[in-house]
Amino acid sequence: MNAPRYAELFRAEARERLTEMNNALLAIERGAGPERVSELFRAVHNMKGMSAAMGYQSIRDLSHALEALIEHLRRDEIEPSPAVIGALFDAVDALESAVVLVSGDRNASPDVSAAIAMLEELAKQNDIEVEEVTMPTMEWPSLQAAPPIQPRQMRYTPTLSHPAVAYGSPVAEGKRSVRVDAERLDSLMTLVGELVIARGRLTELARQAAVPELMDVMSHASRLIGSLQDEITKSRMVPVGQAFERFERMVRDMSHELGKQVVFELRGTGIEVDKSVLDEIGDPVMHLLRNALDHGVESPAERRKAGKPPTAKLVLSAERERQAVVIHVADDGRGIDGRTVLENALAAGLVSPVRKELTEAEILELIARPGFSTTSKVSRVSGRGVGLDVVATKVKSLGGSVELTTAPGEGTTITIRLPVTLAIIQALLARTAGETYALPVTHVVETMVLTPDMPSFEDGREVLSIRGEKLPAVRLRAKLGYPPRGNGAGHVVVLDLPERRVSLIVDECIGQQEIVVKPFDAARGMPQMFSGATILSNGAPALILDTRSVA
Amino acid sequence: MNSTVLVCDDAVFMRTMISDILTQAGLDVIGEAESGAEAVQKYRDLKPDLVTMDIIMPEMGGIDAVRAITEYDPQARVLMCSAMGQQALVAEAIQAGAKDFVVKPFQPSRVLEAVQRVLG
Repeated sequence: MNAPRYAELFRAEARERLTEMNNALLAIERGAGPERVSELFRAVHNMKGMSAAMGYQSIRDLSHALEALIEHLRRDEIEPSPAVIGALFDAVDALESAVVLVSGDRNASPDVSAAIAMLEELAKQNDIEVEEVTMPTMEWPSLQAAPPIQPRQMRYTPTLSHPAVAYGSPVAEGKRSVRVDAERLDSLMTLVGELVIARGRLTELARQAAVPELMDVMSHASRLIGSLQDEITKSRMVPVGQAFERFERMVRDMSHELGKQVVFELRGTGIEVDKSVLDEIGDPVMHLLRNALDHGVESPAERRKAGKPPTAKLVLSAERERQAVVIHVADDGRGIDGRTVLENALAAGLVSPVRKELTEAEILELIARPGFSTTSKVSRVSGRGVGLDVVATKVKSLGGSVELTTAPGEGTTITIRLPVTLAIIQALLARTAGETYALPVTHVVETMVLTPDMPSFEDGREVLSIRGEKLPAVRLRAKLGYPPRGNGAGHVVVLDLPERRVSLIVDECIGQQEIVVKPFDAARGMPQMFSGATILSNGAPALILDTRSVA
Repeated sequence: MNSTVLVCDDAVFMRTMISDILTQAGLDVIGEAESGAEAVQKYRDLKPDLVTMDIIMPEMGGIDAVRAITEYDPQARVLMCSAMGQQALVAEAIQAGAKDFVVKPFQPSRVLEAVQRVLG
């Protein structure tokens, strides 16, 4: 048999089954009915079959022991008590470790004896016999001679079948689907990205050649490439639930560990985003949840004292907002006290001593500083506010933004805004000091020619008057360390950033183009103001400006 | 002409493995189903010579699916392929209309022997 191929199939499917097991267990813990027990059983049973076929003996044995215990649950012979649920979670963890181990090395034989012993011990405590579910590796010889069995004698509990799905009724025309390796989707996206770039160059050449037939073919090909790009982008969209579901388990474990009572709610799990975005936001969201549980949510006693219900609420939600996906992590915990943050900031000399109050944006900026703390206590779980700076940096590098709203005593909400797709974006191209730079159009409001009457100074800072409004001015040349242009001419790009409007002065705006964002490792000492690089339609490379750090 | 087969199992892994075994033996796998309900529908659409059927599946288990298929076509040839090896289950499957039973994990030779018997 084609071993590597099966190993890969096994790895992918085992992962899905483990997720199903965790989800089903979480639901059962919350009191879900027999369907979820059946789902759990099915997932474990499935794992048993696959691992046996792969010859992964220890995974098979552990799945088998798990299956036996779940079978007792199914027959209501044992109660889903916290001890039983806890043991099942532990066994699923052991199963996961074993799967990870054999995924790395096909010949590894993980030691699962402790987990199996635990399951058997549990069965014994619950006074049930550990029944031997036989699994011979050959057919039943006396098959045809088996005595007829009346339905009422059946040991098979028919909870798995759904009689409501009558065979005669039209079965929903299930969407036909195939599994595709995620890497293959990535390389398709890269290829179509290159194709989009080539299209730009070809279009330009065709225009220069000015041959009508060539122009016709080119515009047709151009439309086809556009549709191809759309389709590939769509095929990469996945529901955010895929990344969110694993957090249920983490929140449960962590709140147990911290002695806090938390109801965790997931909303908008069906919102779809590009796979590349989803791959990137998992860790930031996890940091935010950990922070919320550790710093935001109070202990039941503290909550009671504050006149709140002892069980806190933690909500992770996703929404679609035009071309962005908006993720909220909201808790109803103690909130962040702006005064404490201000005191700490004053003590650390981070803000002007005359400041009396901080805006939410400033609070966020301060608490996201590495090493800045809102409390004096260092917690084991998430450390000293560690994570928020990582989150802010990560989200920014993806072209997104982070916002904070908080009310002391009522809770904190952190909102992350991200583009739905990272791979191909619309950009404004601007030339400055002989180089071309790409500005993502997300924040661009308008562009105009710089006229001599626009600039003036206010409080020693340059501003531009645009239709009566005075906007802070940023000269890209100065930012990049070039001398000002001799004749003072230039173009203005008005940027609408989450907290402010800014006018950016460039030498010349040269047009708008779809660009393919290339992963970008900033060399040491490189200015932070670039978020990536791209290849323009004329084949020249260009740096992508991170509008928020430039302005 | 090669015999045609419909492979029913909720695990892609198992479907792939069974399909590989059968294809290498020269059979034509013309369809796959991942639930009992889908198996019944596909049986009607594809009229395969043989069906391999898992037992534990969502949306109608394998035994109910066999019952539904043999009710629709009493001549249907269904081979159970399951990790559930309890004798009672095997007997129930046979009663429901299955022609033979192979227990997972299976040796390709065992599967093919059973297939030959069922198609025989």
